[in-house]
Amino acid sequence: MSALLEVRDLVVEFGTEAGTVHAVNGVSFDVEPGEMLCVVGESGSGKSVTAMAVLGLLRRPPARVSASGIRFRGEDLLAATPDRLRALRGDDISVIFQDPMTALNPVHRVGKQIAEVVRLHRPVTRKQAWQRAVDLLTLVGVPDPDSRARQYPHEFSGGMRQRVMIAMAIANDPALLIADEPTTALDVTIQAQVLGLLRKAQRETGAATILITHDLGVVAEMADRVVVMYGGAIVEQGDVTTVFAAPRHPYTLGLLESLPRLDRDTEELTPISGSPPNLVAPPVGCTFAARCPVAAGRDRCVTERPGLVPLAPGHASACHFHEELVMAR
Amino acid sequence: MTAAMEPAAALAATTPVSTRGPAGLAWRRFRRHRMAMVGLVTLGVIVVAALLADVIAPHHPNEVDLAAFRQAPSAEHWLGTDSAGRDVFARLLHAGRISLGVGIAASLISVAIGTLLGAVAGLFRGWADTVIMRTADIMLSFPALVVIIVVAGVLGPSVVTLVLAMGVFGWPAAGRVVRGVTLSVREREFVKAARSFGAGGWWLITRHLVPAALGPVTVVATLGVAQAIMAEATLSFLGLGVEPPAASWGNMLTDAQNLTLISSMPWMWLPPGIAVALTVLAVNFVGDGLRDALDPRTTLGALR
Repeated sequence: MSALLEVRDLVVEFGTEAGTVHAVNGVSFDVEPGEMLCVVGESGSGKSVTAMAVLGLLRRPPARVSASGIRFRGEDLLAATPDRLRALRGDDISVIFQDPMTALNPVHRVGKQIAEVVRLHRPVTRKQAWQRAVDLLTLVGVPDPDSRARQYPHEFSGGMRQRVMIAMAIANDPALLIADEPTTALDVTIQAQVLGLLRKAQRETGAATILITHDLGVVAEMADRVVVMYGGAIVEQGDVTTVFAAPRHPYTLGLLESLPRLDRDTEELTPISGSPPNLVAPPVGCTFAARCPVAAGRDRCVTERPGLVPLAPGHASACHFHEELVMAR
Repeated sequence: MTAAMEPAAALAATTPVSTRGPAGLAWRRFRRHRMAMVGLVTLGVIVVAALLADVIAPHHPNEVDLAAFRQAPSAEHWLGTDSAGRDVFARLLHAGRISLGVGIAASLISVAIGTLLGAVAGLFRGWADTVIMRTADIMLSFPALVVIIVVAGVLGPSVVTLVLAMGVFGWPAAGRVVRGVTLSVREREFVKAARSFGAGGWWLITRHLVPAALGPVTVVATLGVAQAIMAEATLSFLGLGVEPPAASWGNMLTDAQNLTLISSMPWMWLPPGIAVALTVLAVNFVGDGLRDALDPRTTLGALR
């Protein structure tokens, strides 16, 4: 089976006054139909930029995007015309943004905003689109959808607004859903509801989902497969149980070690020391070398950038010394 | 009923099905603006009087009565008669139709052009922005009245020429305002979201940029009406606007070019003069009120 989305050697750079920011450096991954792929990494690791580049939503300039291929159902998105990309966006591929407070236009009724997404892509009447909006609000669990559709965004809570955003994203039964930190702006209690809803939305539409997050708890809860990004590159990818049980990259290991656990009695959490690399002048060797316990005293980590090497079917790590991590946990 | 369901039910019951949108909130603020309400009522009276001119005025505006010219106000002619024996009151009301109509039409045209060009300039930037805004700068550097006088002189004076000339030359005011709004709104998250749902330029302009600019544009349009009424009066006074026998406030004032009439027969020029001043003042009050009502930051204190 061929992948729904194939990204090969994606490079994104931003020209700024301080120099060129190498935001994404040669990222390759596949998204299979119907799967839940989590992209995890800290701020500035390139996760959101990767997603926006796939959709052609980065403003160029300042962004420069190149890749040997971004293919959606075999169609090269890099070579696609702006009209073709507009036709895909919101129809076959749609996005859920991080902050539902600002992603809705305050001057339009909520139902209208959902209906508009339908009308952008489907030859329906206003009335049919409105009915679809009400149905979608019902689907995403907004109570009293008929009258709520006639309200304005300021009359909705954060969680309810994120439900509205999800309704907009699934309005045209997309094949691929990109959720960019959909729960980061929400209360913890609402997060679980929204994640549950994303699951439901995925079941209803059969859409593959790329869930971008910095929360490993969310990854454990949701993912089929996980891609770990650091410094604009993928450092490890694999199915979620493998990566969580036996991480083969020191960064992944560090992330997992820094989490509180119920099954171990520790006084303090283990942080990853240091800070992420400067992407204006990225290191020659491994981007993680400066913070890596494995790299300490080893020249190879500083002089040679490790590539992503397959360890097992579907599991890969970008570490020269990944064998040493087999025993670590 | 379970205990867990009660709060939800109570919430649903007390949540008002509010449909008060931005326009409703602005109207509530506008109503508290005393001068604006005075202006609105005054303007309402003037508009109604102009619309009902045939019903209110006892005479036909162009009816010439050579036996009764330059008569002082009387029970028969409430505001007297002019040099051709026409009833001044009837002409005043009918002139109001023309003057208000010209003012509103000219303002609407310039705002429509300005909104479209401003949104295009702000949204697409690049060469479109440069061409549109430099054109606006050039047009603003011309004395508008002189240009319109030239146009009216070349094409010949008529109401249509007047409206078109004022409409076409007035767009830079609205254009600049809309471009400014567009530049800030295009960076807002909901515009990015709309793009991510496949919206194109025209879609963004009609659904997101124009609604956002509607407030400031309404203010510009209102003040534009006042300006256009004054420009019409000026041009008609000079004989380049509305052509007699049709009455406009401007060409009624033409009589004031005669020193004898100014000193001894005020009923012929005072009413149209007052009508212009009152209308422009009322429109400007409404414009100020709208500006305050549509920009919540300036009235939050007053509302509390």
